[in-house]
Amino acid sequence: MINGNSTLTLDRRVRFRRFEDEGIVINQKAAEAVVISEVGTRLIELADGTRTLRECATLLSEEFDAAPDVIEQDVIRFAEQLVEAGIAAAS
Amino acid sequence: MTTFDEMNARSWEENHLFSVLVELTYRCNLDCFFCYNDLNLRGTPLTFDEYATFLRDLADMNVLNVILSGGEPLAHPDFFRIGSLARDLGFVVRVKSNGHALRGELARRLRDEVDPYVVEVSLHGACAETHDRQTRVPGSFARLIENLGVMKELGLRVKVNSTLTAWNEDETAGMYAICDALELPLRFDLQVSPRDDGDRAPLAIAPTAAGIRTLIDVQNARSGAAGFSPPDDGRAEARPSTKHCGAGSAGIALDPYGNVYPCVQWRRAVANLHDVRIAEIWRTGFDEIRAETEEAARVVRAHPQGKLLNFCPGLAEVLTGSATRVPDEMERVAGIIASTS
Repeated sequence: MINGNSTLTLDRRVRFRRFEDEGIVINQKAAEAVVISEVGTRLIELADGTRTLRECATLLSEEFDAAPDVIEQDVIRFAEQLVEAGIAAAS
Repeated sequence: MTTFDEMNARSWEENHLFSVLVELTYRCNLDCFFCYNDLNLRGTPLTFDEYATFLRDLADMNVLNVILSGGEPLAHPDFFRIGSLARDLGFVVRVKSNGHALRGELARRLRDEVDPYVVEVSLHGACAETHDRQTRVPGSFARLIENLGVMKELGLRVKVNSTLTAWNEDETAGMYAICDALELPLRFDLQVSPRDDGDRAPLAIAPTAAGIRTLIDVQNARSGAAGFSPPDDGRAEARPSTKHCGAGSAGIALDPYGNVYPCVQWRRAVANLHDVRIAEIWRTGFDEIRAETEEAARVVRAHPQGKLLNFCPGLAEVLTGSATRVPDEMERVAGIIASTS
């Protein structure tokens, strides 16, 4: 169960690059390329395996001028999608 | 939401370096008749430290793809150090190898230490006689077929490339059968290229009109066959673009001596890594090339055979002296393709 205290780490076979405001995730295992939105790109940059999703959400809310509790819910949903797609692991 | 193809196309327009092909060495354990490398090229080879600086600079520039090529890239003494550094820096690493040495411990090390997205190997025929005639190494066909099985078993993703030639043009169905049996995708290139020093000897085995038609018939009969589509290496189909290709706009090539080119086929060196860092070269070295790719797009659009030309500015420059003049050979191949449709 992913929550605000969870941390996120990209799978070791996943490659990520920023492209201007967006990001590209290459899942080498599945041979898939996914383009990530501006906020998602920033989350992947912030989620270094030590910051919790809540801490990431706080930073994102400052950078994107949005309510922290709303951002935190979005961050958790996005993290769940990444985990489900095999792109990241949560702990 | 932007798609990956749209992003790739944007990289051409916005000069976002996306893919870098690195020729690590011209040494090779095969001796292919039509090898395009200029084996007389001389210079000071890049050191591991220079490669490390180069790769770190590319990571800072958000480059996605690094293609390790040669010669035979595995023949470079620092191949695994360079490859694993590229992996650690987050690149999608592709390896272009002849596959001859990719077995046993070496293949395992490639998977474990470099973790390439794909290994691209070359198949030159459907039988030993044809393949070994091209490689000029007896036994290379049998060894490649065996190694393809080994790589697949190890979980390495493999893609097979072949250049259609007068020597193998009657064997295309058999080559597809080999790859089908191994469940590997096979891609043909219809254009035999001259060597990078301008030597046209390889053109002596350019495919005949009948051979090209046979391949098209074989491909038409197979249409609908499944195959995976890896991320593009800079020659995206997603357009429109003001440029003909991503040479010098989304991709570059580097030779073992530090010369930087707009593309592996466009051998006009714009600078040398021994002298200048890549970020500076990227900022200042490619304006002329980018203007020529825009002119090439206009030339192709105005040409009656258009996209069927499979026009390549680099190849055009070798064959005609101009990157925007259509060579007769490209028109010949396009004419044959047009006659089959």
